[in-house]
Amino acid sequence: MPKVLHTADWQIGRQFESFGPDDGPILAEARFTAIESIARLATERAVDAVLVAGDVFDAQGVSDRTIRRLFGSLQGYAGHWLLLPGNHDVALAEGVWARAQRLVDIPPNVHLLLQPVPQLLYSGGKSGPGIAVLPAPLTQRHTYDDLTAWFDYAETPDGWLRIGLAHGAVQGVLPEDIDSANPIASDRAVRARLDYLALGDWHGCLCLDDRTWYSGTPEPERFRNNDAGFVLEVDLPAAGVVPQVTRHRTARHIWLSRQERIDVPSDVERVIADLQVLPADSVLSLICAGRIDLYQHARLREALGQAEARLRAVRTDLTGLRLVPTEADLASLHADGYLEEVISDLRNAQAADGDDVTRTALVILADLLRPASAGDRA
Amino acid sequence: MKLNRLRVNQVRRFREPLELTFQPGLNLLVGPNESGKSTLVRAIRAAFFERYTTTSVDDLRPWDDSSAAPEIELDFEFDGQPWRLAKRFLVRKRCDLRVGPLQLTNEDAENRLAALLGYQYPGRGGSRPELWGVPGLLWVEQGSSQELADPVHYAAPHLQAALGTELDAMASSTGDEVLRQIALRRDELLTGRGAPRGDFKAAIDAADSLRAVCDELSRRVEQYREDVDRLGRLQHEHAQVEQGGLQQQLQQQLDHARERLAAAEALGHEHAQVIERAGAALRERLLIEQRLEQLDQHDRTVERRRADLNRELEIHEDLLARQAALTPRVAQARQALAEARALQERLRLHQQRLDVERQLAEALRTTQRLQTDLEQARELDQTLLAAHTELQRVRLEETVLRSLKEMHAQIRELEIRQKSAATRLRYSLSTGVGLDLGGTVLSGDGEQLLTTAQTLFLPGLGELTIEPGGEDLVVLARALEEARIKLQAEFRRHRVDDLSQAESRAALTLQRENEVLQIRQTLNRLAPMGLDTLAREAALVLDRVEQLQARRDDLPSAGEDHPAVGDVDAIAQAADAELGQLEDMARDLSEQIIRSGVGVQRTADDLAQAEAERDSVDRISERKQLQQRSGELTLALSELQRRQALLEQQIAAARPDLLRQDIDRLSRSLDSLRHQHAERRDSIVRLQAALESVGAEGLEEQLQQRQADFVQAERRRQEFDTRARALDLLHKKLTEKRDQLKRRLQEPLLQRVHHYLRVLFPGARVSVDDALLPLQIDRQGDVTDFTNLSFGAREQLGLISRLAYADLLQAAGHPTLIILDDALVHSDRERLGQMKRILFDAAQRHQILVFSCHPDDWLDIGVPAKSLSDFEHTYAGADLNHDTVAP
Repeated sequence: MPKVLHTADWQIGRQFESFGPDDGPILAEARFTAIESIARLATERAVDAVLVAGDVFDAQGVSDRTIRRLFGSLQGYAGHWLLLPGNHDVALAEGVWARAQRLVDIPPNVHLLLQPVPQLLYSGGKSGPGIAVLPAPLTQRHTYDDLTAWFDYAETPDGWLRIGLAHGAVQGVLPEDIDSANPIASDRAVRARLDYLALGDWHGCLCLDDRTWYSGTPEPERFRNNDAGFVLEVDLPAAGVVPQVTRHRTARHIWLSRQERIDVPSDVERVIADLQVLPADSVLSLICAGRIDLYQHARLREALGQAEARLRAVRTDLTGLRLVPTEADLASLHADGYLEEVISDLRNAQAADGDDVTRTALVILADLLRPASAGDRA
Repeated sequence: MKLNRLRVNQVRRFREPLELTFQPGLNLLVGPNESGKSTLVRAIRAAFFERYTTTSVDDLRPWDDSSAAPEIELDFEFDGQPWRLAKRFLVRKRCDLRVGPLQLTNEDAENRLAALLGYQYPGRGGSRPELWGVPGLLWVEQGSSQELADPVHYAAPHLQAALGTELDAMASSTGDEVLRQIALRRDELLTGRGAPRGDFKAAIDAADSLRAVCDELSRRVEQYREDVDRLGRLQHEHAQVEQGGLQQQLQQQLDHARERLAAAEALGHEHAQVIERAGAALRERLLIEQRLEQLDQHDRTVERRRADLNRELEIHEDLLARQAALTPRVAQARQALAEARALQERLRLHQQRLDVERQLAEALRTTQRLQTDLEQARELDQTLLAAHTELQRVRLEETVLRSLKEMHAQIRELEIRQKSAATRLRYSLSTGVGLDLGGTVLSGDGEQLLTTAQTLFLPGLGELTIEPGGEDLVVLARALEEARIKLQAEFRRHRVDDLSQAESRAALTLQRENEVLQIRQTLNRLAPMGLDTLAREAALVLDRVEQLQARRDDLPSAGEDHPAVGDVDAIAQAADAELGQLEDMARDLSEQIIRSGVGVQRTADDLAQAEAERDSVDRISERKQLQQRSGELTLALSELQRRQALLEQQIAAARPDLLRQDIDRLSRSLDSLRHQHAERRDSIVRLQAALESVGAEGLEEQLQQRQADFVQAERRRQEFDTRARALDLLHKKLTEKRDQLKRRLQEPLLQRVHHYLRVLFPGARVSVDDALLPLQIDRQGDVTDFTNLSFGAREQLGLISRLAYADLLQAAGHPTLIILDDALVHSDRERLGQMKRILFDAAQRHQILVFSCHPDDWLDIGVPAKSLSDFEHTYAGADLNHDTVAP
């Protein structure tokens, strides 16, 4: 029975330097690791081909080394790799694909689908039906036409499976902030008599109908909670039969985006507890807003410090927090005399508008006055 | 606190017990140097500061008594209770303190005292100033009242406490440390003026430079994208050109246009040939016509020549006739001319004779005049000769006359001088009597001047010789004699007898000279060149007359009746002219006749030749042939012209000019198309190469990295910025609050200081530093640092400050006792006066012990001075045992 793996949006070459010199390279490396696990999976599952539905590369201007590494990562699977250009790696007159062809001796099992012509593959052992892959590569920087339109009239051998491979936004289905502008008709699979339409561009794993899927990226690379990190195994019994789709998790890192509202101490407790149970491979974005007293603030910072040490990467934004010391805070600081007056002024300013500077000033004072950890009073 | 009594025993010079009592307020103890004032002060200090156990108080013992046990006993009141302190050092050491009913001994007693007064004991050894606390500030040692910093420092905790109590503990226990830390951290990030520095500055620079790097990379990425798009466009166009076959289409059009042009050009070629042939035919026909015309012309020439000959012959005859008529006229003219010439000659000679006659008359006139002149001149010459002779005879020059006159005048002068010098002989002789004097006979009355010795003969009597005296007379007589001789000689030389004669002769000379001159002038006029010349001239003129007469006789006379000379000349000229004309005409005619004859001959020859030619056989057949050929040519020409018109019509239809333009246009288009294509291909190659090299750089990957770096750097900058601003804010706020607090803290102290200062410097203000030390004094705007004040002023301010501290301490419930040992010795009288008022004022609140060796300075302090000697005296020998002193 013919069987393919459907993946997309590898975004090879994306940089994560903003996570710092320690975590950035690991996050970039994880993308290659994901490809290698796909290759492994393809071999294990003995699929007929791996279909990559666009955005193999993150940009045209990735380094030579990145290109070489990508093709190196494909070595783990000797079957057909069908690579489709997406909006990040459009097949232009000159660009990443042209460079790849110059740089790398591309093996015969790797097919760059740079032209909208059917790619005919025989399924394993040539016993089952052949597979005709209809690619819709992006060849213009900005595409506003449905590049899959030609699928409707594409001639394929009788009895062969027809699989569409495209990159873009299925109209009327996806949220509006999707990457690429090129539209794809939502009924393309039906109209083009496709057995399966493998889509890319939406980074989450998403089933639109029983023949139309977005596989999503195999390794998440942004804070968007959209079920990313899978590759799809598609079993195609025969032409005209609904395919069997299985999700395989490939993601190493979990990208989490949390926006927390803090008003009372129990909110802080909740956030801290949440931080403590996150898996170590998490990449966390935490945005806190609300009011917090000095004591809880110190606790939160301590918990965040621990989380930063434990998790893959943590990005926090506490600028939405107003630091409002309580009487107990002040008592614990043993601030008296004019120092107490200053703290009082700062506290009033924070309560009024919660700006960064006065908050920082309060934190500095608190740190100076109370060098011991925040746990004293717990 | 009030000290009531002090008793010392075996302390330095006080080997015997000495007891002093004190009043509340001011106590003045006076005594000269060495009288023991300092000993008492030392005793009070030792009683409090020194541990009773210490061995470092040897100085308390009398100098020669090493076994003495210095004892000090003090009674004072504080907080409404009587206190008694008794201390013995070195021997039988002991300390007892009684506070009301409470009895404390040794260390307990000492600690109680230290707590009360606010000082500390040393761990071991003697006490040191840094331990003295409040008493160290209020008990001023000799000559140290201006030294304030150390004592205030040592008393600081107590002073702060005193102030703090008043201010309800406003001060922060950790504020200053926090402020210091904040300042340190702030200064790491900001300069004094608030500009970034250190890590903050580095973070800003890093962010800025990364931003620049990102901008550059973004620009290059954008450039790369544009180039890729351009490459795509070029490749698309290239492919279109390759596929579209526009080039072949153009080539076909070009080939077609070329074919049509070739056809049109073939027509043109034929057209040219037709034109060429028509031209040839036309040219031949023209030649034939010309030949025929030539033949006709020849015939006409024969006729013309015959006519010419006839006319020429006619002319020749006419010429000959004219020559025959002219010949007699020439002869006549010659005759007329000869006659006119002869008459002319005659008239010329007649004219000459008239000339000679005129000259002769003139010569005769001249001869006559010259003869007259000559005679007159000769006569005058004779007269001149006579006049000259006469002049020579009578000549006497004017100069000679003048010389004679001078000599005569000289003689006259000498005679007068002689007469005056001469001996005067006056005589009066009787009538008839004469006397001879040197030959002169004297008679009657007279006078005789004697210039020389004279002998007077007295008749009958003898002689009387009179000799005039003096040598002058002799000289004069001699000179007179000489002058007379000289004058006589001159008279003789000039042939005159006397002076009058000389004068008349001189006048005559002048007259004669004038006569000679006149004669000469007349003669000169008549014969300027002399007589001889005049005579020769007269002879010459005479000769000429004779010659002229001869010539006149030779020349004929024309008589009276002859024509005028002018008329004859005109006739001769006219005759000459007529003859010339006629001769010219005759010459012309003969030449014409010769030429005419030759012409006639030649014309006759030509005519004969032409007639012979005209009548030859060849000439006739030629004419016939020519006329036939001409007809043929006319036919052929009409056929050619028809063909030409047809061809021109065809060529006009084909429009070869347009075809040529088409070919040019198409060729150019094709060229430019090929060129564009080639250029595009080159551009593609170049662009591809450039893009490949740029692409290899992995620009976007770099950009992403750099952007991430930038975001991090920007975040770091932001963090630093917030932190720096927070620190700055804290620093400002803390400083501000602290300053406010400090002002509030210092206020009570300043109030007390100013309370006293008013007396010394009305209106002056003092500022104090954090340590509560006087910092500056402002006297009506004149601000002076405390340390820059004079010694005396510092001493005064030091004392005022201490009094202020005492007020503060007292207000805080602290015991105050003020001891001044020889204070204010550097103050002038006026200041001292004010200081005494201040002290008196302070003494209303505090007990003050003033020790002085200048009792006079303190007379007006308001309390009686106590002399130490009084005490010694009073108490000397008194057996006061401290044990017996009642509490």
